[in-house]
Amino acid sequence: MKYLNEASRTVFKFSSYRAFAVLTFVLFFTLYAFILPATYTGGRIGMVSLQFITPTLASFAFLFALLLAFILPFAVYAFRKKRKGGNSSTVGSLFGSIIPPLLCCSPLLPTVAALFAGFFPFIFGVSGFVQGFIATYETPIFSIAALILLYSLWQNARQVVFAQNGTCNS
Amino acid sequence: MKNTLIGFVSIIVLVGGLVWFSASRQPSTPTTSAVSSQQHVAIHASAPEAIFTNLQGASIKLSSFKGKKVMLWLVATWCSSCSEGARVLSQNENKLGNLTIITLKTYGNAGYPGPSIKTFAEQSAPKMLLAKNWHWGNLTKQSAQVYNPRNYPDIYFLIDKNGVVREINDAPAATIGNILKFARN
Repeated sequence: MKYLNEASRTVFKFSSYRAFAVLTFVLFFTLYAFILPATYTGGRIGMVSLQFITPTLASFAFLFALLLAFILPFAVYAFRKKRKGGNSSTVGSLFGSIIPPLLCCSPLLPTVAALFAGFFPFIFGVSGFVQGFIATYETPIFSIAALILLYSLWQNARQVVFAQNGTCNS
Repeated sequence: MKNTLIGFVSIIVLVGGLVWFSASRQPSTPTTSAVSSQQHVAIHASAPEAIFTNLQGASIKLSSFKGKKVMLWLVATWCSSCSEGARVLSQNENKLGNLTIITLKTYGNAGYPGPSIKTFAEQSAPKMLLAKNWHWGNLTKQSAQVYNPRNYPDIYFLIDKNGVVREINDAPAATIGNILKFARN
């Protein structure tokens, strides 16, 4: 919690990172709100999805989007700070911070897992066993994705604090 | 500022790409696959015979429903869109007129274990267990090979009074409009 508070104060004192967080939240909440109900629509994604969004799915969509709204700005900030005091490009920072360095702490894996838990069961051709397993354990899969995102948040907050203090912690 | 803008655009492209990927992988209705995999079930052709066992254990033939509009619906009992479909159909009971709905657990439950069809009905649409137009049961292996060779967890066939297949689709909750239209016409 200490890292989270300190990282939030550090990163969100910049208006650009606040805007980045808001935009991330809006984009990912919309994305999840449309995709998670695919489990009820036979994989159809669109306005029809919104008819089937349940309080549970809406909560997960909100939680994932909220966590990502913190994680991505933290990750970008820490990456840029480590790279010559913030001179690297935002694009490079974004991809650099999300994809290769810390797969364990990247939001990518749990995000994709959560998306596919909602959507995957209805890609025809996937074995019935896999479809059935994912459909049966959908809520636990979402919960695990949320836990990984929480861990990712904590890790990225630490990175921000260490990067800010000039401490090496890679 | 320029970099930030590029960053935002990148996020939008990334998210847009994910949505596009997801949308492009949306299952088309299983019509084509079902028809191309074997030649027995086709739209505008007579529905082949199917046999199922009802909840009382009696063996029932699909042909015994000739003269009635039928929705033959094959489900896996673990499938969320199936339980949602049963719920939505139940909600629309009054609008379905005389449509006979035959809901059958597909052979092998589409490859993953799940509750019985009776438990599925009790959980998804309990009042429809007693509805005279709604039949529940288990599809036989032979009939599954004809109607659902690819083991889809959720597929239905709308069959008119003359025994002709008018539509093959999936996810009744999302396609309830088509079912109501068929029931009305």
